[in-house]
Amino acid sequence: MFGEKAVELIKELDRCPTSLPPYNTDLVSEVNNEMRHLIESNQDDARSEEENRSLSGESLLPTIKCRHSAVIRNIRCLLAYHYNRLRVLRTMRWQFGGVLPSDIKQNLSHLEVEWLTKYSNSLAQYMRSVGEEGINLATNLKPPKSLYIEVRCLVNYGKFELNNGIVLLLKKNSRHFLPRSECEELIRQGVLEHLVS
Amino acid sequence: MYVEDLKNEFYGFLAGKRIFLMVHYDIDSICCCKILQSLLRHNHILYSLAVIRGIEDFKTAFRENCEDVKYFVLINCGGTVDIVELLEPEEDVIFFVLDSHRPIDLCNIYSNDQIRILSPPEEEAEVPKFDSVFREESDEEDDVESTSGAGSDDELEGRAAKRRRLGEEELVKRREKRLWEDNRSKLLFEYSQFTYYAKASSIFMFELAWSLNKDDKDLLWLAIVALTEQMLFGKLEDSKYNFEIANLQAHATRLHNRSNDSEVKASLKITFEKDLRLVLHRQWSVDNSLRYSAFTACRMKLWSLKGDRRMQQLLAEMGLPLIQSKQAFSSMDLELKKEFHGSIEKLSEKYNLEDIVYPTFILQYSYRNNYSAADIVYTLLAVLETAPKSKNLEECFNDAMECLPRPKKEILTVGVGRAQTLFKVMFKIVQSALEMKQIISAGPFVYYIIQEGFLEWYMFSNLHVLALLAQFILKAYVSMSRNRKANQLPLIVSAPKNIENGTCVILGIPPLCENSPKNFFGKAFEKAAETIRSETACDFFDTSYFEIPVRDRVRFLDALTVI
Amino acid sequence: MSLQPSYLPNYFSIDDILASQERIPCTFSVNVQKLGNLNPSSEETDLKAGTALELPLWLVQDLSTGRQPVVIPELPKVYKEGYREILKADASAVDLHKFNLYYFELGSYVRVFDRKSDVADTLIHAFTNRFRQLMDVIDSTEHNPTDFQRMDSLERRLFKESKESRMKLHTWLEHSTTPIETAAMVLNHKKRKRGTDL
Repeated sequence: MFGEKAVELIKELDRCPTSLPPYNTDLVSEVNNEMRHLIESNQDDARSEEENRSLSGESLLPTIKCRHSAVIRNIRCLLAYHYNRLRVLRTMRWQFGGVLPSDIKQNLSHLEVEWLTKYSNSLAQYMRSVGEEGINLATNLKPPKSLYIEVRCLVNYGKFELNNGIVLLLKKNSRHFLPRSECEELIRQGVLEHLVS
Repeated sequence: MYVEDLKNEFYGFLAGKRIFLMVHYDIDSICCCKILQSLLRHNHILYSLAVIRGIEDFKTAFRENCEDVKYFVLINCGGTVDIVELLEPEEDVIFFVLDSHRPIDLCNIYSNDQIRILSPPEEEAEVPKFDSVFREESDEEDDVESTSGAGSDDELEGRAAKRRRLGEEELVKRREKRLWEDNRSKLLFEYSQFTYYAKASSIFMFELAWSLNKDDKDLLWLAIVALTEQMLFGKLEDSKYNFEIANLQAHATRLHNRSNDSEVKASLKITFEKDLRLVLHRQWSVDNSLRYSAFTACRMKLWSLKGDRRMQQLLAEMGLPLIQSKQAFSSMDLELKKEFHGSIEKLSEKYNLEDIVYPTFILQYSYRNNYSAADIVYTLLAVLETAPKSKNLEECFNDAMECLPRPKKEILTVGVGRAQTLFKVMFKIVQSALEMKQIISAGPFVYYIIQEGFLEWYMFSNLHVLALLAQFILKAYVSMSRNRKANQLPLIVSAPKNIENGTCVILGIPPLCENSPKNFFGKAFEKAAETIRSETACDFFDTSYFEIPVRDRVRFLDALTVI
Repeated sequence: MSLQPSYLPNYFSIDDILASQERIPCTFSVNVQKLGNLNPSSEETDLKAGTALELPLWLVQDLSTGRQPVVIPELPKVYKEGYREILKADASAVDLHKFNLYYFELGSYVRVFDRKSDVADTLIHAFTNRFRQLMDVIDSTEHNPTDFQRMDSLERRLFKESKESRMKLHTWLEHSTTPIETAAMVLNHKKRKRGTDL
């Protein structure tokens, strides 16, 4: 059946909607081969159909139509595969921050890595360009109620320096009262937990 | 040195600085810390916080953070040890100490600037004068010189020559010095003889909040819980409890009048009430609560068949059907529930249950939940000290922090369940200890040893659980003993502490007749350990606890009888 | 900027691609040369007119339209009279997941194969009927996995999203401050890592 392999790619994404499975180079190239084969057969058949049009033999048009439909389908699947991976990747850029964990990075194709770098650059460039000093869009994703918050440390993170030069030791289970803006990123990365009293 | 003006010299001083809080692992400390946190939040003072379980933790936490922080606030830890000697801090590091453990180390009291003690000295504690404990450096050097070199011939000759040169004046000086030293050790002994507790740190902190006009009902509840904890674990005399509770009641009335209608729905309501000394009875059944409360168990000797019958009789006379008494208190018939307090109070004299009623506070929170301060204390104790081994202490600490001041249903339910188990186990331990005659008299004291592998023994390696058990055992022992002087005997209990290292924890509590929580075991333990030359590594701020290897325990107890 | 995949069957929608992969019974109305391998039960090189096959929806859609349709589609059996009767009787009692994972999504495509628009009516009736129950399930605090198992993919998505927003509303009402949370993907990633470490 046509398009089976392409759907395999989509199913792969469907299985893990919030993470990136390794980029499936093999399957992608198999789909490409299938498409090439379909297109070539169609070109051949179209040529013979053209030559035989005057003859009253059976038309090859239905065959060509079937194959064409399959090509279109394969294209859709391939595009959707890449597009949806990029969506996830973009979300990851916001959730993990600038640096992705290495095991996730391994799963990217080199084009995806390139895209990510470009995306990060445009994002940084944009954030710098807003206002006089630029604005960090990754902070205050939720409306802040106070400038300072209480947090608990979930891992042994080590030393952490605040903007004003204060250094503190983030040790597992220690608690701290810190400026919200400076710990928001660590909270989103799962280093700290925001305590609401 | 003592800080006199907390408002400016402590709270005001900290503004804009970054501080490190060290909080001891107990209920008063947690309450105190919560109050302090709320004050610090008001002023946007950045802080970090670490839990301190013992002297080792204390040292580690300091070592890890001393490079980054200059201001340390110690809550219920560090006061009883010479901080400067123990931690060797840089000169510009400052410690604020709010510690209810007593006695406070003299070096801390007379530290010029580095150690600042937040609680004023108690009236009855006679702190030796500075001059009678410390002397000019030069004198001591002299002293060292004159005693150190003894033994070598040259030195001897030199000294002989020196002696000849000594004038009358010198001799007088020496004599004086000896007298001074005798006096010094006497004073020191008197000062450090007893281990005891001062007013709960939370109450100090609450008073600070009040003076800053930042107090509210949440903070008051924390102070109440801390006071109740001290009372339940026998850390303060009844008279002091009554005094403090009256004090807090005034605050409660004041804060109640201050609150306006708009906050009624979401806020706490704290009422001053008389309550029964029946553990967790609102969360349990009458039958269980009566049976497993140390108070009723000891007064009616519930571990015996006779006692059991007396309890049934009491229930009958109260008009409480057995079925009702056995079901959850909250599901009892409304009428019976309402009458319960009154009817048990009426019969208290007949059943030897005088003073079953005591003044306390009840917390009403979100319409239907009522908790007495004692319920909360027992539940927190269970959260902190009876958790299964798999749960580490920091998690327990977090749970307890979350439960205050506003109780968190999920944590509380688990805690209540564990507290109930604890009381059941304690009752069974007492029962079997009495039946098997395992409470052994050693002359000047009695002792009881919890064997490893006994029912839930691991719970009793924790300090407050052990203290609770010790009180229960001693009361039960005195009530059963034929010896008239039983109430003059102190009790020592011991429980396994660390199975791998083979150590056990030992706790001594003063005899009942003293009716005072002053505890003289600290010094005695030290001495006994010295006599038998046992290697001890005591990690406790409260010196009435001691840790020794199990194999030394028998010799240790023997040594104690001699002292 | 919405980071959620949009619901509407857009070109890139994963759900839509998967739904259009479902097979539809149809009959060939003309001979199709060289594509005999589409019919796994025959060895011939050509597909003869009159052959009945189950083809994916996307192919059927392309081949059944136009001036000279290649295939004549039929309604899949779960949309036929008998099943429609079941849904009419009590839609909320039906295990829709057993009917088809993409019941509504697929239904909105295949309804055109039915000239009387009965399918469309049934779908609307069934959805409104079941939606009431869906809201109840979301409101109830107890999570009953069997309820979830009986939903089709559209309902499942609604279920998850409303559960989430309800939680958010609840925390906001309770605390009026929303705590900053660890990003969902980070959390997921950690869990998975822990799983592989063990």
